[in-house]
Amino acid sequence: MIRTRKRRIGVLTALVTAGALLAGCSTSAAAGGGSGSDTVHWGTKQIATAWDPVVTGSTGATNYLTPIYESLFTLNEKREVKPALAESYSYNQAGDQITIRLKPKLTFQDGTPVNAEAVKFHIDRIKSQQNSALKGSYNNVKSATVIDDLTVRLDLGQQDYQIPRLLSVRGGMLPSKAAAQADPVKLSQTNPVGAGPYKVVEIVPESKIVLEKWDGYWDAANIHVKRIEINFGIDANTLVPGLQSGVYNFAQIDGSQIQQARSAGFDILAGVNRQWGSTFLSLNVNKAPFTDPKVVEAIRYAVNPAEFATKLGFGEGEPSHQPFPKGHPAYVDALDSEHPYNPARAREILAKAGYADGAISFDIAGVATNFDQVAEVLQGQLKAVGIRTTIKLTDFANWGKGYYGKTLAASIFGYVGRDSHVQALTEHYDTGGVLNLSSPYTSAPFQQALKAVRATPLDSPDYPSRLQAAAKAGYENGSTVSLYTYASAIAKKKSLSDLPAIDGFLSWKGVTFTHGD
Amino acid sequence: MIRTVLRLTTARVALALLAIIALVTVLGPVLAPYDPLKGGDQTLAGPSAKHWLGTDYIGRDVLSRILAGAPLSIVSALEVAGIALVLGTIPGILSVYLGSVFEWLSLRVVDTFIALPFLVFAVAMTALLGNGITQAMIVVGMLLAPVFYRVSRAATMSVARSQYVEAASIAGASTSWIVRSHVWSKVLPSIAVTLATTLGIGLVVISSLTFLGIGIQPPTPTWGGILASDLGYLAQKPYAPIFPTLLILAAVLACNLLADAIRDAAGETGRALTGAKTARSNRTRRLAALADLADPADPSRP
Repeated sequence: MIRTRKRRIGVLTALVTAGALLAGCSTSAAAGGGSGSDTVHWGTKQIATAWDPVVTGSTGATNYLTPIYESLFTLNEKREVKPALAESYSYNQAGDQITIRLKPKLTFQDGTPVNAEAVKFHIDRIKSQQNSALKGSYNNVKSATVIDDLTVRLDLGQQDYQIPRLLSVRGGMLPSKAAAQADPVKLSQTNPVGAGPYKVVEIVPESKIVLEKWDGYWDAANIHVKRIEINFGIDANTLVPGLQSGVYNFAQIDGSQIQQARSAGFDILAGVNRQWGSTFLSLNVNKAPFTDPKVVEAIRYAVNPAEFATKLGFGEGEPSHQPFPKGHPAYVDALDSEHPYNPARAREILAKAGYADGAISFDIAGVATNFDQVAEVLQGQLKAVGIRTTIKLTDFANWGKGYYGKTLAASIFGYVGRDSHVQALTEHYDTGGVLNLSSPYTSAPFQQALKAVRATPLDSPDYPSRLQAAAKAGYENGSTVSLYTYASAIAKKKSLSDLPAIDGFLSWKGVTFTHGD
Repeated sequence: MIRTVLRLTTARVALALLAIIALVTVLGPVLAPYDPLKGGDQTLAGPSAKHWLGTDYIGRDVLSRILAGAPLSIVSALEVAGIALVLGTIPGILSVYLGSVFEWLSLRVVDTFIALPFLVFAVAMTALLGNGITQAMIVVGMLLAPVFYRVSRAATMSVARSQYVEAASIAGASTSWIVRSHVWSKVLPSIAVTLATTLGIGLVVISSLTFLGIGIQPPTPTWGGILASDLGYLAQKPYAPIFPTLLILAAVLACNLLADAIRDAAGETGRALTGAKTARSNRTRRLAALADLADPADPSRP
């Protein structure tokens, strides 16, 4: 009897202790999760493998780099180019030279100066480093010349008024020359050093990065969040529960989770004016069966973007016949009606070109776990017009060899836009473009339209029409088959104020924590 | 042997489960009510009279995919176990008889395979050999082979050092005859148990690889692949992963139960696995010996 009572008391004590501990954990998690804290606890399923902007290129991964690196110019909510590390720029009369003036007395986080030498070194590195992902984007920048400590001149291959946009945010983040010179691998893996609002406190490769506000930032007065912790490789299914439990207060979520996060009372930041992605099928016109333009045309009619948007977009997807979402400056209305979904027409084109049912077959490549569902839907659509396909998905490294080496015949891929509209077009349709699987192929009509838009100042009234003309010429004469576009979603606690809505840029300027979640 | 095994409840349960799984494996593709590859407009629909287990993210019937995915899931597990058996058992037995050089080399190779992280090696090898089901089977089979190597080597060593084998050797028996007559029967029970366990492991590993997008390409249905894709839609269909998980669990459980039963039935000598008559006599001798040990004071003892 005594033993039983003792046991009961023991069990009760253990339960009370466990309850107290859990309550303590819950309180601390909630506090850490945002309310009353100045730390952003950011969860994402993605994994950042490189921290050098030259290596990452202008991709979605730049969201993790922009807190560390500042660019020469930045973008405001109207997508206008504004000074950042640079205070001004000016073009020569011919428009083939741009002179950039830097702000005085700026330093990188390692204390070395932000000067013309650092800019020249960066441009030279973009053009010469073997694993540079920006090489193609800087094709038209022939050389950088130091004029004085704060002035640098870029000589261009042809008239090009897009350079300030290229030097903004995703394509223009400037790393410390000293850090890059000392060890570019270390810069990319363990020691990223920029002149951005946050400096790195801790990196756990492919798992976590801890950033702290850097008071030396040129616009530090506008940075109110003291600390950002980004947790990588988080199972997508645990992100919303993580928000609910207070482990995170900011998370990049999948379209399929938006409704769940919204129902749980979190703010959702999603829209084509913020973060978006475009999924497409890249075809290689240098490889059979795509050497025949009729096959490419038939595939464009066979693809039903609406099915992708409905089944994979979860209300945030839009059918698309071009790699830009509605509302984007390079979006062309006419392209949507040029190749409407018409399987009968696709069959007719193939039959007229002499292809019997099932005569065309090819492999659909892609990155496993990223494009499985897209590949399955696409395979079904192509099968319906008599095109046989085999899905061959693999890991990113192996797929990348074939895609970037332009040896694949067809692959599914996606992209998240670029700050320079021309950069977006050249990457899709120009020789050497990272998204142009048919490279070195490029079309004469596109090159002509590209030259025209490059030669048009950004504030010219002709700029929008010339940009759209280039976008149209690129798509019509290129080998990309657009599938759908979607808004990438961020779920956050209400205690964290909204980030500025700037296409493709997570800017932390002006973002604050409020209390009373 | 079969009678001995069948007397055990665990064996009966295991065989019943395996019979169901075998039935599903053989008849599954035929029984599937819909085309397992054809999508429809009803995506992520719940169970209904039309679709008993609902539909997936592109509107395919889940029941049809599970039934159609059974052969590949089970056959690939069998292939893995077969490859591991051949690659592990033969060198394991031979390592005792083929001299110190072969012994040293085979041990180092096995140590290397044991030290390799399982899934990382599988990912790396399929990247090297190509992403296909055959490559994935070979890789997993290679990685499981050390288990068979160790088990067969340990069993062989214990027999090789016994007096009756030494006597046979002195009497002029060849190594081949000794292996066939004495070693094999001793090694077999351990191998049978390991094989049954490996089948379960193989199924789980293949499911893990499918889960990582290695080996089997979409839209080919497999239980692991269905599970992996279901996990991406937990917010919409939280119960969806239960169906493929139950089948994987049942198959693994059946293999493990069968392994236990074989171990219990085979006893110490392993003769039970080589012939029913020998098994009976062995069992009688064993039971008699156990009875002696249990009651040494029995007056009926001579």
